[in-house]
Parts: sequence; structure tokens; C-alpha cells
Amino acid sequence: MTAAATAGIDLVRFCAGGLTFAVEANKVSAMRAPQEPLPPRLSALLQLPRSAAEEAAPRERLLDFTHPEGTRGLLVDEPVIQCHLPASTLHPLPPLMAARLNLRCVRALACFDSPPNDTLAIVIDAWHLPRPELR
Amino acid sequence: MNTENDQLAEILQHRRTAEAGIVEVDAPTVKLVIFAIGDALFAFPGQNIAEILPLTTIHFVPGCPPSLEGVINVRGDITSVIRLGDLLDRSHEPSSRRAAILLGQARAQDNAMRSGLRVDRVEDVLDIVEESMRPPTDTLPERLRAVATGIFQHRDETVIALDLERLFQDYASTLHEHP
Repeated sequence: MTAAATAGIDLVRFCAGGLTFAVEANKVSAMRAPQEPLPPRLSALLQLPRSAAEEAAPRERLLDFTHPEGTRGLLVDEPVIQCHLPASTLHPLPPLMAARLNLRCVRALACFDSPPNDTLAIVIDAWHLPRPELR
Repeated sequence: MNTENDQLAEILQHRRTAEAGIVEVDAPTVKLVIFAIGDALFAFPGQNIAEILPLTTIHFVPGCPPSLEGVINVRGDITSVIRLGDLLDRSHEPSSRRAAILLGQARAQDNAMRSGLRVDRVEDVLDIVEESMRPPTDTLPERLRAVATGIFQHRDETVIALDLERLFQDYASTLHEHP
């Protein structure tokens, strides 16, 4: 095992649709206030229902992701936090979930704190998000 | 001679004779975990159930079929949780304090599989004589028949024993279109 594999990873953590998500920090090039034209919302791409609180007072941020085809933007909900996670808190998807999941972008799960106050972050691959539906 | 002592001696002698009369039958037994989904009773082999957990916070993960409720944190390990009733075409009762998660483990397709299985309540964990298990009947619904290994009586109720390895295998391969 390499030192990098045991040391952990830098992630950017944020919310969408009431869930906590994270992406590899080295794929995030910038965080900005939302501006027109608005990029897709993560909650919409993943078909997550928006909570009443989000509908009432959405506090969104625009994340720019580096991508081989150019920079791509994504709207996410605050708080947006950069953090370092030790490898021991990162988990591959459980086998049955990996077999049945229909979203290629879900790569791993990360646990913060211990039950019953634990928070689960869904680690996504920003390069494999579903494409926005054309209207 | 004390009459009470005589009576005691008589009872003890009777008990000794009675105990000596018990013939131990070395019939093969199987340990089973019996549980309920709705009003139906089912069982898994004890060797496939690592732990019985109280219903805890299940974290939703997007992109999963409805039968896959999400994941739980079991002392630092992340495990998926399946609504077992959805796989058996049985409706779950509303969540109650008796609801539990069976931590199932099996080898399916040469892979060690482990997942939580949501059940409405755990009825019993017991050894039953293998001979008391009857083969599954043709009248069972198709989805149940595919994973049932036998039927037996427990407290005057019918219990359907299930093959966890087959259940996991089918679920992973989506052989049956589980919801």
C-alpha cells in the first residue's frame, strides 16, 4: 500500500437535496457565487427532492470542476467545506449496492463522527455525473 | 423415620428414574433465526446471520432501487440495508421498536456478500431438528419458491426457511426484477 493510500485524501464537502456529498478537492478549481447562466443543480441531476428549507432560502454555491473537456459548473448547497479525510473513514460501496446502483458518479462513502451523530457523505466523481436533461 | 424425608427421598428417586429414562436422540439439528415480515414468519440459517441489530439511522444513497434503503454504520463498517419484504413480495409493518436489521452474510458468486436485512421483528433463535423441515410447497408464490429451502411449524405457525445466498445472488444479478 502506498503512503498516499494510507494518508487519506482532501475532499470538498457540500450538500444537495438534504444529503451530504463530497468530491476530490483536486478536481475543484473554484467556488463562486451563482451567476447566470446557471449551471445544473446537483440535486436535479441526481433527481433528489428539494427540501422545504432549501425551497424557502436556498443558499447555493457554484463549484467549477476541472474536466478533460473543459471547466464544468455545478450548483450545490452550503455549507461548502474543504476537509482532509483519513483513509480509514472512506469506504467502498457495499457489494450489493455497487451491483444495483444506477448512478456511475457514486464512488464511495465517507463517515464523519460516530453513531448516532454520524454524518454520511456520498463521495461522487464529478466527471461522471448524469447529463442534464435537455428541455 | 421422618415422613417428610421419606417423601423427599421418594420424589428424588422418581426424578432420578425419570432423568435416566430420557433417551438422547442424536438427530441433526439446524440453528435458525426466525423473524416476521407483516404477519408471515420466515427463517434464515443462523450461520448466515452475524448479528441482530436494532433499527438505527439508515442513510439514503441516491441511485439505489427502492428495495435498497441505504446504508448503516456498524461500528465503523458501512453496510447496505435491504427491505427484505420487497424481495419477498410482502408488505412491511410501519416501523416500530420491534423492527430489526439482520446482518446477513453469505458467499454469492465467489464473493463474500454482507448486507443488513430489514425485518419487522425477530421471533426466536432456535435449533430445530432437520427432519421436521418439509420441502417448500408448489403453492408458494413464485418469488418465495425461488429462495425457500423448507417449511416447518413453530408455535403452531408456519415458517418458511430461506436461502440467503440465493437471495443475495439473485439480488446482485437482478435475476428477478426486484423493485
